[in-house]
Amino acid sequence: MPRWGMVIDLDRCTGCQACVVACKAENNIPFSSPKEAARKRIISWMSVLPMMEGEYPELRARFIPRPCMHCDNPPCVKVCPVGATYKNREGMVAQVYTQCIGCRYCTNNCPYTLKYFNWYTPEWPKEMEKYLNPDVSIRNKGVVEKCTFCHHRLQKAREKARVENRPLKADDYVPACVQTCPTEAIYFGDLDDPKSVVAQLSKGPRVFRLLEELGTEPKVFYLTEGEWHG
Amino acid sequence: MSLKRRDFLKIMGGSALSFSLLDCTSGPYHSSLRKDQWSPMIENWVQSICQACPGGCGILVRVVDGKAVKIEGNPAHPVNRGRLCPVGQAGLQVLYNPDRIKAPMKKIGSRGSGEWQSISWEEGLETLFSKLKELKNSGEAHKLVLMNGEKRGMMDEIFERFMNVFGSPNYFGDDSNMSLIQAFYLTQGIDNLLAYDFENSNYILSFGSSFLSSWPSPVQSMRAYAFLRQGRPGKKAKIVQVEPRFSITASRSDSWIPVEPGTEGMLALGIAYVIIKERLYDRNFIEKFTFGFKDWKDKDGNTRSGFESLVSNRYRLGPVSETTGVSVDTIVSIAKEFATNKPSVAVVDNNSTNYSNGLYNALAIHSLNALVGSIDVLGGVLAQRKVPLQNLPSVKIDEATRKSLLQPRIDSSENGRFPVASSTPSLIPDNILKGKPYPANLLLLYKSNPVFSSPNSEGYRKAFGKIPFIVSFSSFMDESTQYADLVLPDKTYLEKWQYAESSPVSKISVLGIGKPALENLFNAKPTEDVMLDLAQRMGSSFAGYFPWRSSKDFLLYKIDNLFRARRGVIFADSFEETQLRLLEERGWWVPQFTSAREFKDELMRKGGWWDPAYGYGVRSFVFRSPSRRFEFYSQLFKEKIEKIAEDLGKGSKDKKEAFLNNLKIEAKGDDVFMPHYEEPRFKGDAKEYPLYLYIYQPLTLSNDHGADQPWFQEIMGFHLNMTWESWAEVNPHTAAELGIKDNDLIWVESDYGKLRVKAKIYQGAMPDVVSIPYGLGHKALGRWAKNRGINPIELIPTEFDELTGLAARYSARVKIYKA
Amino acid sequence: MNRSILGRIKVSSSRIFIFFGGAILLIIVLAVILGFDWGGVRQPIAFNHKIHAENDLECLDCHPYYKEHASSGKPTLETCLSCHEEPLGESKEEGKLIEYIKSGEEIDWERLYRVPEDVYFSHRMHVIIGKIECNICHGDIGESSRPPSKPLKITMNKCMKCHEEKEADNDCIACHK
Repeated sequence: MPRWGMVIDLDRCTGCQACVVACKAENNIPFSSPKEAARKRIISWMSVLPMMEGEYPELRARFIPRPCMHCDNPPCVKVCPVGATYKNREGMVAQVYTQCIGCRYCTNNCPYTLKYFNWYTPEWPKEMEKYLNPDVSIRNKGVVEKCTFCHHRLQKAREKARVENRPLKADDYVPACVQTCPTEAIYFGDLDDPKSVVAQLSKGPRVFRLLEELGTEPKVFYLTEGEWHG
Repeated sequence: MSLKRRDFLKIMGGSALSFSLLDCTSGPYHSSLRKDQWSPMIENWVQSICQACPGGCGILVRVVDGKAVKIEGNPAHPVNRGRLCPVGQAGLQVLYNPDRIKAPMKKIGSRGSGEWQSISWEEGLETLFSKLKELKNSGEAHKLVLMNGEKRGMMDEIFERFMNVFGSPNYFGDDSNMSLIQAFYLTQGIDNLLAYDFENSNYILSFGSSFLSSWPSPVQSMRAYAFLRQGRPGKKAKIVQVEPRFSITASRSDSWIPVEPGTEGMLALGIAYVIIKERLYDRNFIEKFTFGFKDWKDKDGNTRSGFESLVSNRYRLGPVSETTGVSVDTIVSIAKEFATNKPSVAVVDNNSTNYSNGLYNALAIHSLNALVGSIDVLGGVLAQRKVPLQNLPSVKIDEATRKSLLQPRIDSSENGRFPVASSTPSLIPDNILKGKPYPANLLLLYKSNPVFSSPNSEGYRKAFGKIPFIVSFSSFMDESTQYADLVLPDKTYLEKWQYAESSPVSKISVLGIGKPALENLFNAKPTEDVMLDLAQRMGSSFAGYFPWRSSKDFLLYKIDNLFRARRGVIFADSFEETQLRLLEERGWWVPQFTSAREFKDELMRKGGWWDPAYGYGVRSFVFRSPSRRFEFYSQLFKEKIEKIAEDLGKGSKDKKEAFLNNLKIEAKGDDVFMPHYEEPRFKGDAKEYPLYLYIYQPLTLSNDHGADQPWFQEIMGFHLNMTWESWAEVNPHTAAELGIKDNDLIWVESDYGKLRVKAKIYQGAMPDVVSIPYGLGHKALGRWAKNRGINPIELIPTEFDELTGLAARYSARVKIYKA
Repeated sequence: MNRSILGRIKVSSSRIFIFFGGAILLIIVLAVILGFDWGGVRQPIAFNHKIHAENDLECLDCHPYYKEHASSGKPTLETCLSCHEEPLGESKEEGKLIEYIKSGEEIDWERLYRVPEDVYFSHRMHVIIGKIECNICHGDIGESSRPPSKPLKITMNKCMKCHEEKEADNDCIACHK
């Protein structure tokens, strides 16, 4: 049974946000209007957090791409009254939209603020409805959503591998952000497979995780040289 | 007593309600969006190329039941290797943009009134044809003007040929790289952008270059960056960014050197000073491959001073430090590091040439590469070989056409203004207004929107009023297309046959082939096909020069040569990679195909061709200057200036003097033709307008389509948490002095106008510099772009680099105050 | 005086309205209870699966995708044309088909089975890997001489029960997308 995880190399990341756009395109994420954006209601399952330190002219900056951390010990799951969010056997923190009642307990309990509430009915101009991905459902107003590690890609990849009567290979399934990253800064795979790139990188000397002290055990690992001032 | 209609309605209403309830129970599974008819969900991946920027990345478009639903990078394409930047990812919002022009239209009502009527393609084509025919028949072919904002690939070739056969010399492109290209031309004789071999470099000294954002081939340069950072253990290159703003590129560099705007060239010369004084330059390279470094004797036996003396005499570190704002220690340490961590490379970009002294800045920066011998070496500056595409059959033009082709161009100047320029589009609006050298009669606009992008947008607006007929091929109702009389909308790159060569900033030559991912989305036509169609209508001798029935036909013709090129390979799947490595290293060419047909089929199937080998040491290719060397002292430069001066001098001595004075060069004698520092001219009194205005392009807004894509509106200002509006970056101390707080609305005022915008306090702003992103502030371009944010170009005076004619976009001084 | 007369007439007219309206509503309610087929799917041609099956047609002949794709596919006019270029019989329904063939217009077959929008259902997965027979979900469709107007009832419980029996994945996100 794989345990899916991600490693993001901040030393490679240039903050271009290709991952952000790829995610929006892949996952039918509705875009905001200026008004909604001003109320900080943009939905962005993947977002790049700029971290600026120092004062002019001695500055240091780092860009931190943040998908759902898919915590091994997920705080959001603990507070969901209806079981709409849960951790599956492969370590993915799932969100079942049809089950969600929109109470937003999980949104509030996520220390990384990576769960998003649909304040509005998703809408696209009629022309743009054509680019919606048929593999991903369209969430309704009043439902919480978040990064799924593009699990719909896993559904298809697994099916393909089974039809071809072979095990799932490492390349068969990667989320959209991983696939597009120009600097190959994002790695994805099975953390329990000692041969996988993510397993090896996640044990390297440059590793840290966000808000590690909370004990959430996120499965998104970051790499950086030098000291991390999170 | 009778039942009234109202009562019926009541009943109908009641039963309709029960029907709809039933409806719900019979089909509970639908969302409002996906109620559509059944479709089989058969998916198809179409190989194409991204044309959102000049990079030419390979893409795969995921098409499900005829709808494009995702764009991914093509792993077989050597430029991007399966990866894609945000602009490439967002192509779907261009393709399916609801504000696309969906059919040909003609203007009804007055120009710019926004009243249009849809017409058929036949009517549109016939209208344009009759205008062309009229011009041609009346011997006024030269009065046809074509502006192409994306001069590359198939469209450029077809336009070029059309204009040539038609008989108009007035084909113009975008001039934003002019100063860079001219700097390379004057020193190395290469009339194109040069490539930087980032991957193999040990020290990158970048002067404002945005190689981690709006670079001509961003995926490639970002990949190179990542490789330097974590791809070659133990050999981490150092990256130094010299720029008046803490940009994305600066923020990912090892060190950021804030420099006073326009003094980048001065800093380069200060660095050269240290390298020369400490004798850290590459003596072997200087001796063998450069001209004009040491003092030299001309053919009359006179001693002429070289670059070494010029730098030693004029760029002592004290004054350099004072002018640039960079400390002496920093200059010394950069210089030493640059000269001793070879291969090192000095990178120049528009950001350091958008000043009145732009050409000299570029010359000064590029000369650092010659000092340390970083030209034509691994990790240095390289020059890309063109893809050996088949040339078009030659054209034999008749006497009348030749005559009109020899007419002066509509961008020509009377007194030799802008002498170091291949074309001077900035003169177009004034010339058209004055009807000089003759009136323009018919204007064609292709991906060109000067009413938005030119600092002289008012001039263009007025000039357009003088042109009797304007045709736009734009897919969008942009600011310039608003003034058109006829719109013949182009298809987007995702719907066309096309080919793209890698950008010249990439060292490898690559040809990518694009197939249409979908057809017939709207009633648009590829402009390539429109021009081929018009050529057919122009009569048999004209049509004879255009034997291609369609753009696909044209493409097949162009690639016909590759089989015989005896170099390069067709894109490979990953399992063929090892073989490719070998080729890359040894530059072998292996014949893989027995027939041209077999080769072509495979080429079309794999989607491209490339040459992994770079041939070093071909002197005649890298140094095409008169001396076949890198010329510190540019003989081409000297020839150009002297020829014009001489020609004018024949008329009168005053004219010659006036010409030289107009160049506004302070240096005298030989120095003029060598890299040196000219003080940049800024408009606006330094006391009244104490700040410099710096304009930059975020990657997401770096092409025509940025502001009209909602995905970009959400992310373009992420470093300051800004969305859907413009902002001005202000240094915290400056802001405090002026009583400005974060998010305050302020006026940014220059001599030329003022704009209201939100202030963002930014540690990465120099105290005397205000930075505003370019790309917002449209007055057209659809629902998301129109009237959103500000266009800082409106604050820019019409100041030029008098040598190249490039608009000095960073030459405004401004003041800011609370609105 | 006049007023009261007018008032009386008004009252009686609205009584009539209630009476008739109520009667119509009652009919509708009865119709629903008695299972009258109001909301069902009506196909443009009353396709006879049985007769086609008897003539040795396989499911795959008209539903070409179910072994290779998520969707099973439905016959296009071209599929029909390969046998019915000339009328094979005299049925009224075939007559309709001949009309379609003459006009060249695709037959707009109504979709009968739909999974909820947030579910990924793949025929290939179920047929090839799960080795599920068509009739498990579609009943004896091959034996039917008229197209059904309603799908067989398939609920999530039914899916999950089958998954459990077949030891297929019952994780929510194995199916929900």
